[in-house]
Amino acid sequence: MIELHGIRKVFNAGNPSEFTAINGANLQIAENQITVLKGPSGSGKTTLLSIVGCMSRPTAGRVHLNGREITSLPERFLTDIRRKTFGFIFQQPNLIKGISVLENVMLPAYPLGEKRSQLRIKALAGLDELNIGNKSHSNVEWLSGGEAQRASIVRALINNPSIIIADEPTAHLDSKLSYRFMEIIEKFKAEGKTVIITSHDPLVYDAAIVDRVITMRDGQIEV
Amino acid sequence: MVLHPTVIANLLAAYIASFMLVYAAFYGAQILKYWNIQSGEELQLILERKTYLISTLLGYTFGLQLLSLFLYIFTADSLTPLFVGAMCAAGTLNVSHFGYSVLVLKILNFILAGLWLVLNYADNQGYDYPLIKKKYLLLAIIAPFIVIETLLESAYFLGMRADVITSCCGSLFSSENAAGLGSEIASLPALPMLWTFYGVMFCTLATGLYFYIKGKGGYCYAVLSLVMFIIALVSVVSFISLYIYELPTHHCPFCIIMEDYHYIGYLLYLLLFGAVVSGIGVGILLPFRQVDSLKFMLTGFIGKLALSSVLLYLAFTALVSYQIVFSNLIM
Repeated sequence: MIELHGIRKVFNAGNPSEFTAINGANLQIAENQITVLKGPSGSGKTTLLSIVGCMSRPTAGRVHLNGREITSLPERFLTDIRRKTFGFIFQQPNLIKGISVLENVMLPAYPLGEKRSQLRIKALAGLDELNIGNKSHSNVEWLSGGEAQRASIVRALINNPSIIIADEPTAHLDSKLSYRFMEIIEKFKAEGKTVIITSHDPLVYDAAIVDRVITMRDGQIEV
Repeated sequence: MVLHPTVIANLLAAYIASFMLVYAAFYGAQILKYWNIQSGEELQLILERKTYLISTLLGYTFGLQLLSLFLYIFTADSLTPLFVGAMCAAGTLNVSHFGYSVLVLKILNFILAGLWLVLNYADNQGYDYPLIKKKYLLLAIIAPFIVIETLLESAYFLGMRADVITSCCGSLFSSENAAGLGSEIASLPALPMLWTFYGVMFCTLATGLYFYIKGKGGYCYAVLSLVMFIIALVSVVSFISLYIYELPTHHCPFCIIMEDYHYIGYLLYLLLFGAVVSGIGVGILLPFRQVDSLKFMLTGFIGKLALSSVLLYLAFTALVSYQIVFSNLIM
């Protein structure tokens, strides 16, 4: 269970360019469900997602993860939570060019010190599962958009996180690949993972597998 | 003022330390007043972010403070040729009233800064800032001492004139001359002091090892390590120096840092100061063993501190014993 209490996020506070991205958001996100945050650009979806995923800190308010307050945690504890609890899928695949797909997928697991041979087996299994096992030794520059997206999904799963966070995952995918993405997400749900997606793509928030849709506008959650 | 690189380095270190501490103490006061981890208010979140920055800055500042004690002694020693009558740092420190006052403050601040670093390290191991108020309370206590030290150090270095006639260590630490603390310590009978030193050191090491193995007697070890520190400093003047110089009348605690004696004084003082800080650190942390977020690591850390302290005292004793055994002086 993720609980948000009175979350505010202000950028450039005190400057003429001050901007309130989120203004007093209260929310509870249930476990083992697919939750979609929808809303127009600038409504605060990504900001809220980055706070939930411990990638940024709120200006005010608290986030509880399974009953534990996480916003006050010192950075090194936060890093640990980020690594083990969350898997991130971004709008762009954000794969590192110049190294192979397999290396990209294994990268987030290196700080945890898992044996490389075991990690390799795990990464290859993940790539096989999403039908890109044959590309494991290819450089990421050679992948198509859909393949790159799937590689980034395997990367997000390498540390076996319990919560998957996806920020506009279908923004650069055609309909066929978007449906394929939603099938993968359905599988996550079946495995007991919690999925939080931001999207303004009807293909995502109208999908039957989605348990809850939260609408955001002007930094606030619409009831 | 004597324009010497070491004087400039001392003053710069003092000003940087004071500036950083006053800045940190300002936020420390806010933390002491407004800190409430249960609150999600904007101020609380600002303080959480600030403390991360301030703790990091203070870690370096206090590290600088620890070094500044040795830099101060080194400076006093290197300025010796400028003053008529000065033979070592003892004479340089005697050129004005402030020299020894600054030294005493530097010793006190070394211990306090070391203890703050110990407390800060322990606090950083907890996920919920368990020692934050204690840490900033200690900072509020230390800050005025460091500012006073800076003021006195400035008065000492800025008021320094090269034409001053000063006393040499032979007269400042003389067992013949009854006036002054140095001479009073020097006139303590050497052999009883030697037995006191070894007796108290044995008790300290035994208590430290007992605590390390059984986990009992930690407070006793903290007190004993402070007592041992004072006895060791007195012993340096009273009898250790005699064996190093191989002279029955030369009690100076500063000549031992000179090249002629292979800079052995720096090593002795480093061991001694390290031992006392880690020893008292044991006592400082003991009350927090039951804090939820610390209980899995603090016992291990306190044990390491106790072991470090014991090993440093042991190394100090071994070095002193080596000097006594291989000295040509027989008393």
